[in-house]
Amino acid sequence: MSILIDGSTKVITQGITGKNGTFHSLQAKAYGTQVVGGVTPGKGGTVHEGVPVFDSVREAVLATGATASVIYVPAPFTADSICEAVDAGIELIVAITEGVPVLDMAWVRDVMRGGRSRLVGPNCPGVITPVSERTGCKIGIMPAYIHRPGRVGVVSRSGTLTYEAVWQLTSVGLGQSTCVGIGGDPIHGTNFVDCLTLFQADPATDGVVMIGEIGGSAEEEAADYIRTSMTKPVVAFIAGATAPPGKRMGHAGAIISGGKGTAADKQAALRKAGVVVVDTPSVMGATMKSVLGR
Amino acid sequence: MTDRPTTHGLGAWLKLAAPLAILALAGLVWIEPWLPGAEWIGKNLGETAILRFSLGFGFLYLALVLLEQRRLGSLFRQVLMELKRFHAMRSDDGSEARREAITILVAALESPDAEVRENAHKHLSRLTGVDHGTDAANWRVWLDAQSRSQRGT
Repeated sequence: MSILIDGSTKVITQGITGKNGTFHSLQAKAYGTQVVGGVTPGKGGTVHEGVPVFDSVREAVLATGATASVIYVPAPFTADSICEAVDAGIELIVAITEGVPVLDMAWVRDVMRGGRSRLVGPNCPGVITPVSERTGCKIGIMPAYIHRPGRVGVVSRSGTLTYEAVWQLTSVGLGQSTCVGIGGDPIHGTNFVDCLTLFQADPATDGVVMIGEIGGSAEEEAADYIRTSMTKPVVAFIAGATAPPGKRMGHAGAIISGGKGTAADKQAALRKAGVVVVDTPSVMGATMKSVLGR
Repeated sequence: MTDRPTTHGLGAWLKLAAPLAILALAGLVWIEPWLPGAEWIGKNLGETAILRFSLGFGFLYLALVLLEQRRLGSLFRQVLMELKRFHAMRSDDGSEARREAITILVAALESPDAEVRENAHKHLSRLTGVDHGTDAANWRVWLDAQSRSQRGT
């Protein structure tokens, strides 16, 4: 078991004929992901890197039975692509693209409200579920070789810190059940609470590594959820402890504004909820191992 | 785009209108004996000979038009199929990639969802330019034969 995706998930790539779509679809296929189709308007009926190309997401879904989609289209068109996937009934939409306008995402959020589609991202590394040592379902841009099947879930706002956590979990022999990069934009789809709820319900997950960062209130909401509803151990790291107020740190959503969203506030909220908060990212794996060993 | 030849256009209308024009002319000849030859025909072959002849000719003409339409339609479809096949062969990025893509759609023919099966079949025909129905086994046999022939060449 895992969350969101498993070895049988059928994936289509929106923007498959572009440079990024091509590269990452090939990487995903090489890792054993069932990439069953691609979408590029105007190129339907052709083949690209061993994958049939369709003119629309709906065509691709109807011809392949895909339930997940990954979006590699440029930022100005990402909102439209997400909405197209929603209209086509895709269950899991992973938007990798960085730089999607906040106003576009506000519109997307309205479109998605009440629907059955789930959005991960945008501006995220994606989702991965390792199935064996060298195969699994990879929907995104993360390096697959660092992952191993295991019983720890990873959820993170930061891409590279996700890889760091994953590598440490692999190195200490714990592995991962599913890793979800939720993205660092101010308005995004799936949040910490959604992922923690799924990990809590997943019998194949024994603990969760959560990586937050400054800005917003997602970590505080996660702390509330953990305090009231979570029985599995959570190890957390909050990035941006030394960030100056008012300065955007990498991600669009990583900014301390009005004195709110500081790393200290988030760490305090998580500690209060019983989460083991580490001060440095270099001990995430070892800490999880010791927490699970208790 | 449809595979059937179009029935619109001036040529098609002329084909349909010609028998009607002949009938109208025949009727005119029959009821207007002052037209050249009408009197002689009426006297020697009977009053309705021109009408019978015109009707017969008209029906024969219509039958010929319909047969010709079917023949051209069939020819057109064959040409379109060949063009699609040629396009599919040209537009893919290698036979192995093409085979992989076809295999994905053949697997979708075994989906429990009837709509997926139907659409996979449609896109397989579009991609390959041939039609082996909705039975995945038929497509696999064809795919194997294709691979063997490609290896042979």
